Amino acid sequence: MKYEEFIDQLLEELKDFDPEDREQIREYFEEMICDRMENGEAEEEILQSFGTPRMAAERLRNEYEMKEEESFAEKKAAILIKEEYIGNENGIQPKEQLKEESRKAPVTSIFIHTEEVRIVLQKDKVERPVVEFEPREGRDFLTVTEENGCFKIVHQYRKILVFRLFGFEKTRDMIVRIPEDFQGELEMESGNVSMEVNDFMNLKSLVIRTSNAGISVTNTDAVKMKLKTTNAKIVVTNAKAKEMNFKSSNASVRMENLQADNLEVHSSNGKLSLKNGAIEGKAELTTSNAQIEVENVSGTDITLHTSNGAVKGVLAGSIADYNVTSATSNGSSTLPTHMNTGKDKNLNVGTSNGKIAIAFEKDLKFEKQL
Amino acid sequence: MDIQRKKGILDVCVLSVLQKEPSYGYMIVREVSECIEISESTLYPILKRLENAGCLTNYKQEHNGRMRKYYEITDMGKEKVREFLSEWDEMKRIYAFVSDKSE
Repeated sequence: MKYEEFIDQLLEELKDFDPEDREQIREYFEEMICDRMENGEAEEEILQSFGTPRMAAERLRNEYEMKEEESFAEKKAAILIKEEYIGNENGIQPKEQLKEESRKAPVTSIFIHTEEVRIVLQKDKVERPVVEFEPREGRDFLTVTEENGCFKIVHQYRKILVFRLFGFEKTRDMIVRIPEDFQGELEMESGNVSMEVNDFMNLKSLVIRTSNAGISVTNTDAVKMKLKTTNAKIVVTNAKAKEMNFKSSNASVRMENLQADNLEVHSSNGKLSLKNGAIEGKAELTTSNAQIEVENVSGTDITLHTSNGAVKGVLAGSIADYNVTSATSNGSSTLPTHMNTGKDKNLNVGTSNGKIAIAFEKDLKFEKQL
Repeated sequence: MDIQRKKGILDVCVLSVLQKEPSYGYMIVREVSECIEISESTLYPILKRLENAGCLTNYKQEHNGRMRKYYEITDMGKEKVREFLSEWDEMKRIYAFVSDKSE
């Protein structure tokens, strides 16, 4: 392979990046390769040291994830005006909360950002969210604000790099007590700590972002549900939402008992499994280098895509209900490559280096958990 | 070394290499490799991140009829290295404490 070809393939893997970014990546690799060739290395040898274009892209992407999170934190912090918090036996509350007028608006959204502090949600008989957390002198900065029904908790801390390198920082918890009847928007983000949400009904939205740690959501119902992590798995059990969007990388996404209008699940190098999924519209499950397993799943527009992995399982209905498109190379398949039934359901299944084994069952019943 | 632990320390290594003079991608990889494993694909996002954080700037200069990008450390970048070095004292105290208790 010529190096131009390698770079083309690498950029193909990074199609979601900005054009400007991609151009810079091209220049960077061209320069690197020219420099190494000038230094006497053979082209072939240099390309081999990069691994496959996909591997190079993956390494690049992994480093990028971190950048994205940091700039996100900076952005969020920048829009917040530093406010002193008040701590007493009832936890930490924003100053304005003492003012009578700000109590008028009910809390409709809760935003929590921490840096490597685990967020523990507790439903409680409180009127407004209450934060329990002990900031360390000179290291933790905590801002709690409330404005127009939006309750924001932002925690930042001065990182001592060598502590982290040797694993001296132990995970700490921040307890956030939430009104029992809260039905608004809940957004949580952190890094390197796992996130868990259980038993929240009728939320407007649930957004969770973390990295290098898992996400678990159980018995929860929200109009919009968006979960994102990296290098760790996502587990969703008994959940309902109009729009569901789950994303991980290098780890699996396991789903059981889901009801959704649309479901979008993406991982790379992680297995996807969905057991009992009643999806009204689009159900899109994509990964690579791992298998996809569905059991008792219905949907009107189902897409199951991977590479280097099998796609298998049981879908509701009969194959005659679907317009089918499927493709595999190097694997057997139980589906036709093209079948147009003229019905309004679509099924699109694809892998390479893996088999496709999809069966259909007419009388699948989904027992609604929520 | 654990991947997560390695992140962050690479940033400081890259910055420290740039302290004596501006340098370019290939040379940075070579120098940093003496101390810790780094690949070209990993270096690119690090440079980008350090630049966005104001720790370095870049300029292009001709070399053998083609353009080469050089990276130059800023004051903020130098500060980051100093910060890292000052943390080490804290670490040494802990190391001494742990080693003392383990005797």
